[in-house]
Amino acid sequence: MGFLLRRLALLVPVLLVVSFLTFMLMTMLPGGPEVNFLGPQAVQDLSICDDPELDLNTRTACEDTIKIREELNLDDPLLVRYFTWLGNAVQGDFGDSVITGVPVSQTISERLPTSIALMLYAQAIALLIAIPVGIISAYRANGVVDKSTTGLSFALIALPSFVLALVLLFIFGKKLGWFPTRYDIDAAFRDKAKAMFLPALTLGLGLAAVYQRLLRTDLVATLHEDFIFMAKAKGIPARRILFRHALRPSMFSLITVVGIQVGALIGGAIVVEQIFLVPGLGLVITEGILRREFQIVQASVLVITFVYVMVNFVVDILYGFLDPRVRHARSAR
Amino acid sequence: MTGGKHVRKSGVSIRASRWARLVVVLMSLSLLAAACGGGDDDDDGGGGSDPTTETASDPEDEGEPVDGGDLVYGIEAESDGLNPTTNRFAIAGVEMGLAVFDPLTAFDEAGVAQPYLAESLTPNEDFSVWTIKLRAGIVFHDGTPLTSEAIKVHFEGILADPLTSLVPKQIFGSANPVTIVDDLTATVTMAGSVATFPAWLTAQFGMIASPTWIAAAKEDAALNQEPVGTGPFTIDSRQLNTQTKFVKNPDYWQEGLPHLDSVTFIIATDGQARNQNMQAGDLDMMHTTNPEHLNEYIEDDGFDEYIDELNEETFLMMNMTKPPFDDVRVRQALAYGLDRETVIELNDAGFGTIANGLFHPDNLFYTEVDNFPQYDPAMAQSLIDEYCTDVPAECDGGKITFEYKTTPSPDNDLFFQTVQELWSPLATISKIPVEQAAFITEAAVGNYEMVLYRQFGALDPDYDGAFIDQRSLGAISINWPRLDNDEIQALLLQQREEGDFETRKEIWGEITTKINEITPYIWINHTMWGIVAKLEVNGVVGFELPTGQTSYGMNEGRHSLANIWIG
Repeated sequence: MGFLLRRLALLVPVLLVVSFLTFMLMTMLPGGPEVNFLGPQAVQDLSICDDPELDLNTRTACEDTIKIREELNLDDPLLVRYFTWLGNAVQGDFGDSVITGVPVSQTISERLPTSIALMLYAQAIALLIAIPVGIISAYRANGVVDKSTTGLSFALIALPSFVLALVLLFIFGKKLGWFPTRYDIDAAFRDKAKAMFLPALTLGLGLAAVYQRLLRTDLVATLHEDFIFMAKAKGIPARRILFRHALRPSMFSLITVVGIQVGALIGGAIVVEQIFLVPGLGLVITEGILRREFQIVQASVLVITFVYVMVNFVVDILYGFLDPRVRHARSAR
Repeated sequence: MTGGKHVRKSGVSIRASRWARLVVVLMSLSLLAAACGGGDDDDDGGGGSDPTTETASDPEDEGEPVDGGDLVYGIEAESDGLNPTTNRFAIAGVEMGLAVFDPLTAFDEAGVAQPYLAESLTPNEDFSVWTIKLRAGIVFHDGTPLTSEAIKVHFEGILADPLTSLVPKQIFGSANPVTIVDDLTATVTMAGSVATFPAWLTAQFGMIASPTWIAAAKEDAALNQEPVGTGPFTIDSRQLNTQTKFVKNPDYWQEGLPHLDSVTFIIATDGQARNQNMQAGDLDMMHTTNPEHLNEYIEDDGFDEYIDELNEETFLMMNMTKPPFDDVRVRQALAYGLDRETVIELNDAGFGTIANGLFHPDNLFYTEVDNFPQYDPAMAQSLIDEYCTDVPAECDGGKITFEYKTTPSPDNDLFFQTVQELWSPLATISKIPVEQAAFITEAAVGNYEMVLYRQFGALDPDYDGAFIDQRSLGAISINWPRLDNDEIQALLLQQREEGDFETRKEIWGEITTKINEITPYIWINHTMWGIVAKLEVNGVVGFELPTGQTSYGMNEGRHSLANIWIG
């Protein structure tokens, strides 16, 4: 219990630090929200507004820019703006998009479930492929299967995701017609799951390659441990050795990387989202960065950070499950 | 002239590409005849000649419209919002806007703007005041009656917005140009003679929204995503950057329309993926400007294509206030030095027509202009040598140096590599990637040296005149190349005041000649806008307007949705 509370307590400072750093970095980027709100009319260097000879166009632009900066409090000190934002954020108010007027919380709540679904789907596909392949490769290390999967894994790791996406789309979507080529948000659950298969497969194959390599490496090392030789000497069947004795201690690297990938998948699957028209958070974040929409980037980073910390919290719990020594060491503290 | 080719495949034995060209030629000839007809321009805004009884070749008989069906339409971009008075409608935004709004006017097949939501538009003697009379008995989707108050709110809203006013403020006399005469009539006061005013009202600028909604959206900007117009469809749902769905307006003022139950716009920004979606049958229609894809569809019997190559141009644009492009010798040298056939071959798989001016040869406003620099490497080199002798500070190793700004995309990268290679004897070029959101800003504040651009697609070129107008020059300007020429300015204003189409055509020929002399643009090709549709999608072009004329075909990807049916 103490361990749980300590880990949960860490969540708050992590969120504060990450959100402040993001806020500060966004402020330092050239061009601000007034550029996005006013477009080409926004004046970035307000010193030109003091010129009495200004043409009408530019004078109007100056007035509009100054007005927007006042409305958005852009002239307040960084810390004041940050704490104002934080105060609203803890109440669930992340502000409105300066371009579309849509509340940021609405945008995120529309997109986050789809991103989570895609992430879980991709992870499931990756693990369903990686675990059995990793086990077989490790068990028959340097054999035909191991060498083939090694080559295939490196090829998948090297292949850009957009290439894989277009190839899968072309073969399974267009040519064979087995899956829809786009994700329809109004479709029934079953059709949505079918439409999400190709994007999840695109992401999952790349992950499977990495996971398979990690598991294979750790499993090969574990299979050379003394306790495995003891098990073999005792006549325990190979399958039982593999699944009962060797697999669990070999999973540490794998579950660590799976946890890390969660955040990357939620916010970083932009290419796949764009090609398969999956309305996830990746596109929203990218647009927010390109348009200097602070509110969207801030809120998205906060959400992803929260998910990251919670997932890694679960990973820590799993460590204890995989290795009782870890659990006992925690209890002893 | 309709908007280009309409190609149908149902049992036609002629190869589709030849059929398409035949249709274009027939349409162009018949509309040229229409344009030469002359006539009374009092009611048509002086934007062209009278409608003709000699119609263009009709599209193959599509049969009787059938009610029902849901259209799924893939478009290339999203719009920030759907408020015509405050949001930035690009082509995709205009197309969504046409679902929910009606414009005051619409182009007929002769390229003349006819009253659409308006019952009539009547100018005074010198075209400085226009009287707009609305049709009676029309109600917005929220129950607000359509009255002249809506016109006032509309125009004043546009002129009050710093972005949407950039182009239209050229033609208005003040920020409050509308005077209400009665419930259905209003007058609009122009800044001088503007014979072309009706032509300005066919897209965003003429889309009339509910004043009740506009007022509410001023208080709550999120309402910009829930547009309220008089159009054939009403907004059903909208998820930005994903899809927007409109459903049938059962109380639409045009009886019997619309035929469709719904239209869903899918935002598919990746051209390859959009193409795959279409070929897999997951879209019913889609936009595309990829000539290679269009040609594949033309060769494929399973789709219809509607192609407009007659209006917009693609070109390299130079900032004339920044060296080395402040010297005409450099601008012309690069024009002479660019083998545009090779550019098109490498970038568009050879499809596309080289442009030599503002107008495609089949465009109504085209007059033969032959003064654009054609490929001549020797001339190019001699001009660069001369420049580098006079201005050595701007040269390095006998070559000019400059920056080329571009948005990051595979197509743009390929284009840059092509021109960089072709210009390698003349110039050393550095590529500066700029993300899309900032690209237009950079052009507007003049923070660029050379960019690849698309423009001049308006059916009536007067609208595009704003982009070469001297009066918009300043620190922030939509006169992107900073073209500052008194002769062009005088011609621009002259054609705006001119009611006779032939005279305007001649003036535009002079403007094009002068622009080519100054060379702020290196023309590449006439942009090929295309719509691809499943065979069962009908009624896209060639329908009857409320005034009785046949509609214009498709202009830059824009077309009405009210008459589309599936069957």
